[in-house]
Formats: sequence, structure tokens, C-alpha cells
Amino acid sequence: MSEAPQRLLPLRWILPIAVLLALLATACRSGDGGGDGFQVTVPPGTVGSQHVLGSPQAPLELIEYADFQ
Amino acid sequence: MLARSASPQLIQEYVNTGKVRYVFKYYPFLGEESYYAAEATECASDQGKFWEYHDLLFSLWQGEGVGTFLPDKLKTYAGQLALDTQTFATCLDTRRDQFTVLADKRDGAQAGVKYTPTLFLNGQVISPVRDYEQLKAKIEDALAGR
Repeated sequence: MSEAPQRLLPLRWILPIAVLLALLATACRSGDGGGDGFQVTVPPGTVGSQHVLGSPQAPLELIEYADFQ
Repeated sequence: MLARSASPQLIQEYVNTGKVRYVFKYYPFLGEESYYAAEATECASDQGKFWEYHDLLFSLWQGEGVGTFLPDKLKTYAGQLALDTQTFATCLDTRRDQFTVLADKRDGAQAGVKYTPTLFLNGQVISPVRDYEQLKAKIEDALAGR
């Protein structure tokens, strides 16, 4: 009689934990704007890198966003 | 991945001939080594060797989070390219260029980048691109106004 509550107690937490994990996963996928859960915080006015090959008069501009890994 | 394999062809056929202007932007998102690598490349850029260091890192790629792009390794690569290693180390250790890298990532996120490599041709996303031939076809279509 005393064993039943000990078995049921973990079960009681499974649903809340599953919901919490699902919410965390969703936040990491979509809430950061960067895709990796990393919040991009940059001082206002900060300019990005300037690595360009080719003529400014070229009819097409190809921009590549890349990760070295 | 374009930067690893197709860039030389792209540059030879389209950039050097004045048809395409190619812009590289950082979008680190696969862990801390991604950030180290991007910031290190910016440190190399400070010494005028961006493209050399960029090409070297892509040539060294072995996988995600395998230690290839940890700071000590990145400093070794700087030495291989005859950069001023003391200046490079100070730049990397103090994270002098972290906001430049993060500004690229901010801009990319605002433009809708969700994965890498993401390619924009005249502002339109054209990736994923399977290989250079597919990229070439998209460029030719754009040049023809299709």
C-alpha cells in the first residue's frame, strides 16, 4: 500500500516536464531570430563585415551567409 | 556548400568577368567554435588576409564541434599564413570583432536566414543550392532576366 504512491509520483511529473521541454524546444527554434537559441544583441549602429569580391557595377549581387563549421 | 567547393569556379566565371558581385557574411550558429572561427577570420581581415584565412578554414573543415576551430588551433592557422600572431592572439582573446560578426548574424536573421549556407541573388533567396551547376543555372537565369 505504501509502494503505489512512490510509483505514481514520477508519473505525475511526466506530463508537465514533457510540456516544458516542448516549450523550450519551440523557443530555441523560433524565438531567437538566429536559429541556435543564441540571442543576437548588438550595440545600435554596429555595422557588419565588408568582404566583397567583384565590381560594384556587376548586374548581380550574390550574398552568402555561412558558418565555417 | 558554396564556400567550400564552388567559390573558385564562381569567382573565375562570374566575379572576375564583372557579372556577379560576391559578398560573404558570417552566420555562426553551430556552436562556440562557429563564433571563434568567424571572429578569428575577422582578426585575419584586420591584417589584410581575410580571404586567405577564410579559404584555409573551409579547407580544414572536419565536422561540427570537433575542435578544429578552438582558439589555440585558430592561432596556429594564423601563424601558417604568416600573420602577426601576437596581434592576432590579442584580437581573438579580447573578442575585438565579436560585434562585427554578430551584426552580420543580426542582418542575416532579419533577412530570413535560417540555415547555412543561405544565398541571396539580388535580394532573393536561391538556396538551397545542390552544387555549382545548379547555382550557375540560377545565375544564368537572372542574367537573362528570367
